[in-house]
Amino acid sequence: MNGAKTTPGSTGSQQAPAPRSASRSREIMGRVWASPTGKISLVMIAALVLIACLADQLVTHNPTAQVLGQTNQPPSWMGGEGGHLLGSDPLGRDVFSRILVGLRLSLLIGFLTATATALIGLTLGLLAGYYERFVGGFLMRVADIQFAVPFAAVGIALAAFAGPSVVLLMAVLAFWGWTNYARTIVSLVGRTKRLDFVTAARTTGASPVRVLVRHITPNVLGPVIILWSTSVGTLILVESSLSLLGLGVQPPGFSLGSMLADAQKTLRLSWWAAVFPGMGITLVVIAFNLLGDALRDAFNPALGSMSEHDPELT
Amino acid sequence: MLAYLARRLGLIVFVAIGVSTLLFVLVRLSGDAATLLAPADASDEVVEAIRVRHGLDQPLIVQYVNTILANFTLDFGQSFMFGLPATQMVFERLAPSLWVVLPPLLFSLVGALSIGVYAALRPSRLSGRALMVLTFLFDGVPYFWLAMLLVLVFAINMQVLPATGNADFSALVIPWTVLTIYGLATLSRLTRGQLLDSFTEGHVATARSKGIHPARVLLLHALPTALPPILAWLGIQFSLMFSALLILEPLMNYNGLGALLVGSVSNRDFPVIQASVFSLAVLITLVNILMDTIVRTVDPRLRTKVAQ
Repeated sequence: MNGAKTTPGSTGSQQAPAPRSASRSREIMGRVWASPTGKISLVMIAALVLIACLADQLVTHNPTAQVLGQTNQPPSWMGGEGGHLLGSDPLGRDVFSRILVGLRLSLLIGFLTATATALIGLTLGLLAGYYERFVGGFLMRVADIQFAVPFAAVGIALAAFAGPSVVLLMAVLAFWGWTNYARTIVSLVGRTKRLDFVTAARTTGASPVRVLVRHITPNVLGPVIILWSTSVGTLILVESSLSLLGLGVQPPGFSLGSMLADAQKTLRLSWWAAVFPGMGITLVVIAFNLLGDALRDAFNPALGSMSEHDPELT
Repeated sequence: MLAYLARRLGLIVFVAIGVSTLLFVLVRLSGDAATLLAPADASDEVVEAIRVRHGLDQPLIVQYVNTILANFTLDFGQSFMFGLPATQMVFERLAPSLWVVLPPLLFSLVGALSIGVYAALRPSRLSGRALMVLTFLFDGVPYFWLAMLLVLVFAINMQVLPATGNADFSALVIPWTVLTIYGLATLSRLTRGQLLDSFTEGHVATARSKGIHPARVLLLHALPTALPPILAWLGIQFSLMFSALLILEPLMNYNGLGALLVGSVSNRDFPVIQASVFSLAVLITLVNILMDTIVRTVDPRLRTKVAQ
């Protein structure tokens, strides 16, 4: 009911529909790689994923081992004992090693939830745009209601009723995020289904499912991929923020967010245990925001850079 | 205009029913509502008494209708912890929360207009680009981490600001700063983009070619064209900031709605949870309707669109 409609122009690829083909996606990736933001973001993401995958080999200490003699040690380059590159936390655990392993869970949460949300959002957006009258009207009203309720409030209430559980949280997040996708693609679906090639497919007897999957989906994938990219970072942020309230990843598991939550209680004793995981989250979020920006330019070369047109997409 | 307002206000009723339904479903899904409503150490008799008193022994549909009707009269029952009406507790905490959210909303609007105008006037110069890169980087900084950093520097190291509480004005400096920066990044990029778009519009080009002073063109021709989407985004920013407050308040021990909600969760104070989520949703809807109405009033383009 807001921004998306009042902000003119620019919800992803609105130029003439292009046929889906391998060359099209290769062209998009080529454009992303050719732009400086795209190159930086892809290198950053590749490095982050690589670090997360090789975390077990890269750690300098056992990330869960509590060494009582080495609690709250400053980083080793500041004169801390025990060779902790980024210091140790109040339980004597190595912050550097925990960041590497915590990054893995954070990225996993971001990737899985973002992908699930994108699939749900794409499906509902397709249905809402294809069956504009009833399904579309109903879904857009539901979106209006959801818009009024901050997810943090839902997450908190959910934890009150069902107990804190990161899997449940991710599931609800995945179902909550569909509105962004649906809002963005619904009008695009409506426009696409009126184009000649879709009418042709329908008159030759293609089923609605076939029309939606084969003919309409390729034309709305652009905005979906852009939204997916930026939502990875956003979802990692949401998990981190709820971790601060004790509602995210539960011990003995840990993510970058839950590390921040632990460190927040002892900020006075060991600032390094809060500062460095936060830097990690910031890096991840910036990397995916940059990728989203580069993708937006790649799908829609006519637009200027830095995505100032539609904040709903950032 | 009146018809528009009536339609938008109808949305509140819709949202209220939706949120009540959501909460109703959440409670029923999570098990026996009577056990949830009872204090943690209640005996079976107490649970039974609660079941009868709250009508939980009645059919589900009757319960549902009763819940919706009660919510519409803002009756959420009494807090288990404090014995006060939940609605009253929420209303008492609303003012402190608004006091944290509204000034940063204004600050970030003023800041974003300055940054956005500056950057739009120098779209290809280094200073304009650098500002945009900076807002992009700040967009990635988690607001709760920023709050921790500020507490670390100004409360723990320099000891010039209190780390927690809402005793006096100085306690507001950190939350205000955090929320202002939180809003600034998106808003200034939006401002720059809208302004650059408006520069290409006919009436701005005409004003320029007539030789009107550039500052006048900017203030009287370009900015009014660019403003409506920025104002509409303020409504969304309000809800984003309020969500951030749910995290920031408990983090900084600030006694507002967010801290009340989180505290009620650990106390399993169900009526207060319901009352705060409900009020929050209605408040956010109201603010967005207000912003949309303002936008519609100041933007003749939208009015003519409706007339067609």
